[in-house]
Amino acid sequence: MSELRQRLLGAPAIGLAIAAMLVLPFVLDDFWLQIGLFAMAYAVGAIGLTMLIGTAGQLSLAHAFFVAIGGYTYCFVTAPREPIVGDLDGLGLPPVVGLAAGIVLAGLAGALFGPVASRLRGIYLGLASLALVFIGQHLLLNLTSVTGGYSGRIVDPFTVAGFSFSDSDPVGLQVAGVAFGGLHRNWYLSLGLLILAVVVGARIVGSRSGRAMMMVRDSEPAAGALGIDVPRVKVVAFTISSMFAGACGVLLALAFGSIVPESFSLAMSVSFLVMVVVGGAGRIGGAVAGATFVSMLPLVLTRYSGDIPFLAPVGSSGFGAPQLSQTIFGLAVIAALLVRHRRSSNRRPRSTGTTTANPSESATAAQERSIP
Amino acid sequence: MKARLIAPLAATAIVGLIASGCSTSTESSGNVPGVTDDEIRIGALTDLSGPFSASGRVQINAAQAYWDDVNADGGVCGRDVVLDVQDHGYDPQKAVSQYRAIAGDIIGVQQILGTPIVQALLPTLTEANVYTGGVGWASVALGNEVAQVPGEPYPVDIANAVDYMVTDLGVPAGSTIGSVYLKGDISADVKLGLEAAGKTHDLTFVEREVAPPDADFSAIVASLKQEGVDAVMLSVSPAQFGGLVNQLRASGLDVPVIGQHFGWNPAALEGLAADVIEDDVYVVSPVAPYAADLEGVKEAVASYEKAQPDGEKDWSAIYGYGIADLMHQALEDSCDDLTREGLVETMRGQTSIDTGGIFVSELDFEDPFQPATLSSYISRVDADVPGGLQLIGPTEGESAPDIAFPSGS
Repeated sequence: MSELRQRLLGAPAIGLAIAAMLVLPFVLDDFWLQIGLFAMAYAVGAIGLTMLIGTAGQLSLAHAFFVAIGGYTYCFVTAPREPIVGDLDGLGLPPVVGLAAGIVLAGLAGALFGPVASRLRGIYLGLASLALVFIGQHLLLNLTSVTGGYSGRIVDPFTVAGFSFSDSDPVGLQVAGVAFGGLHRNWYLSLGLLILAVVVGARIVGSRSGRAMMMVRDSEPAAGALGIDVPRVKVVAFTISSMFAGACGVLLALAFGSIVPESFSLAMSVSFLVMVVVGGAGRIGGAVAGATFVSMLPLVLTRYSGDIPFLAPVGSSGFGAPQLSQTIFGLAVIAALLVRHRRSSNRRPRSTGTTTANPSESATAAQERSIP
Repeated sequence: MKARLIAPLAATAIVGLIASGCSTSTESSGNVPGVTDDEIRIGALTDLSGPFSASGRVQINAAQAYWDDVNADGGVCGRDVVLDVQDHGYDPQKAVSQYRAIAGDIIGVQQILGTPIVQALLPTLTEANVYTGGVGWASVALGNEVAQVPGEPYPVDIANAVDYMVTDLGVPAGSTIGSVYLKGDISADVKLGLEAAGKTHDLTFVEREVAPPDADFSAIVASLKQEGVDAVMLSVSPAQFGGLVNQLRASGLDVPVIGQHFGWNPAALEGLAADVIEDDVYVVSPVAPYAADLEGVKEAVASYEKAQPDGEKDWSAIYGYGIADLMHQALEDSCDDLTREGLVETMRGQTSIDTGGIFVSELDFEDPFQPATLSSYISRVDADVPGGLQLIGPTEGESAPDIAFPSGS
C-alpha cells in the first residue's frame, strides 16, 4: 500500500523537481549556480557511496580517491598534447572520451581494490580503504607530469559537437534574455548526468545484483548458502560505486575549472559519509538530498552569516561569521541524524513484530540497522 | 497523465513568479562591475578560520587600515574604496563559490591567500580579466596576465639566501648545505632556487622533507650532522622553525641558518630557546620586517597600530598594507579607464613601482612570466625588536637570474 502511495506521490514530485531544476538557471545568480553545480556533482558521487554502504553494507573511506581519479583522468585525457603554457601531459582526446575514461578508470581502480574489499568488512574495510586516500594524495602530489603536483591542473571545458560548456563557443549565448555562460551550460550537463545516475542507481538496486548485494549485507553465510558468490558481489559493488565516484570527479572538475589535490583529501571522504548517513544509507533520493544539504549548507551559511548583526567584525578574533557557520553546520548535522534515528527506531518494532513483514519495509529497516 | 502535465507547469509558474520578484541574474547593464559614482569595490579571499588564519587576520586588518586612511584622504578617483572580505578557511570549493558570489560586484581582487586557492581561481579570473593581487610568491602564479606576484617568487629568495651564505656568512664554495622544506608547493620552488645557486658555487645539497604536523626532527638533524653541512636553509612552518633551530643547536651544529619568511612569526620567536636566538639565525623575505627603518614600513606600522593597537607585530601587517598599496597604485593610474581591462593593462604597464621599501627594490610587472624583482631582504633574528627581525638589507646574488622558471617557455 505504501508502495502505491509512493508511486502516486512520486511521479508528480519528481516531475516537479526536474521542472524546477530546468528553470532555475534562468533565475539564479552565479553564486547559486556555482554551488548548484557542486551539489549535483556530489549527489552523483553520494549515490555511488549509498549503494556501497547502504545496499551492499560495505564501509568505504576511499571515495575521495576514486573521485580524484575521475577528475584527473578527465583532465589528462582532454588536455592538448602540446600545451600552450606549462609542460603537463595530455592526450588531446574529445571531452566525451574524457568523461567515459574518468568513469571507467575509477571503476577499474575500484575493481583493483576488490581483493581487499572481498576479504574485509565493516570498520576494518573502512580503515583499509582509508589507505587509498593517503596513497592518492601522495600520487597526486608526486606524479607531476600527469597531475600537476601541488598546484593541480586546469580543466578543459566540456564540448559536444562544437558546442562548448564554457563562456565561449558560442560567445554571448542568450536564452530567453538570460546570458547563458559556462555556469548555465554546465548546469544542464550536470543535471543530465545526475538524472542518469539516479535512474541507473535505482535500476541497479532493484535488479538481481542489487538484491544479491542486500543479501550479502544482511548475512554473508546466508547469501553464500543461496549460491551467491559473496566475494564477487563485494567487488562488483565497489566497482559500481567507484564508477559513480568517477563521474562525480569529472563533474566536480568541470564545476571548479581547475583541480588541486587539496580538494580530494580525507575531509572529502568524510563529507561523502555524512551525506550518505544524513540521507539514509541505501536510499538514492536520500543521497541526493544529503549531498545537497552537506555541500551547500556551509557555503550558504558563510555567505549569508555576514549579514547577521551581533557577530564580531571580519578580521577580529571574536566569534565571527565563519565560526557561526561552522557551529550551525555541526548542529544541523546532529539534528538531521537525531531526526533520522528517531524515525528509524519508530519503524523498527513494526517490521520485526509481524511475521509477514512487507519485504520492502523490512529491507529499509535492515538498511537502517546497517548504518555504522 | 493530467497530473504529470500539471506538476511541471505549476512548478514553472511558481518559479517564474519567484523569479520576477527576486531576479538577480540580470547584470549591471553596461556598467563596470564594482564601480559606481562614489564607490569602488574590491575583493579579498583570505583565510580567517583555517590553518593560516593567524597571518590572514593580520594581513586583512592592515589592508583595511590602509583603505580607511585612503578613504579619509578623499579616496581613489574621487570614490571610496570598499574592501569585500571573504573567508575561505583554506577550502578551494568555498573560495570558488565565494568568488562567484562577489564577482559581479568587484572590479578587482586585492588578495587571494593560499596557493591551492589561487590555482583553483586563476582560470576563472583570467577569463574575466580580473586584476588579482596578493597571490603570494609561489612561482606557479607567474605567467598569468592578471596575477600580480608581489615581489620576487620563492626560488629567488632561496637562491639569494644561498648566495648570501657564501658571500657574507663565510660558507665556502664547494661545501654542503642542508635544506629542510615542507611537502607541497614549496618543495618545487626550493629545488629551483637550490639548483641555480648550486651551479654558481659548486654546492652539494642535503634535502629533507617535512610534513606540516611534524615536530620531532631528531632524525633529520642527525642526518644533517652526519653529512657535515656547513649551513642550513629552512622552508618550514612557524610552529616548526623554533624546534628545528633548537634541535640543530642542541646537536652541536653551530652553522648559519636562514629561514624563509613564511616560517617566521612572533610565535616562532617564542619557540626558539633563549640561548640560540641571536646566534647566526636569519630570515629571507620579499617583504620588509616589521621593525625595518624604512619610510614605507614606518607608514604601514603607524597606520596598522592606529587601527589595531593590540595587533600582532608581524611582517604580515606590512604585507597586507603593501598589497593594498600596490592595488591603490594600479587603481589610481586607471582613473581614465576604470574598467577591469584598464586595471590589468595599467598594472602590466607599471615598470618601476616604489613601495617605500615595503617590497624590496622597485617592482617591474611588465612581463607576467618574469619576477618583478630579483632582490630579497635579509634579516637577522633579534628578540629585542618588534616582530623579532632586524633588517640587514636587500641582497641580490648572482644566481637568481639563472633560475629556470617552468612557465617561462
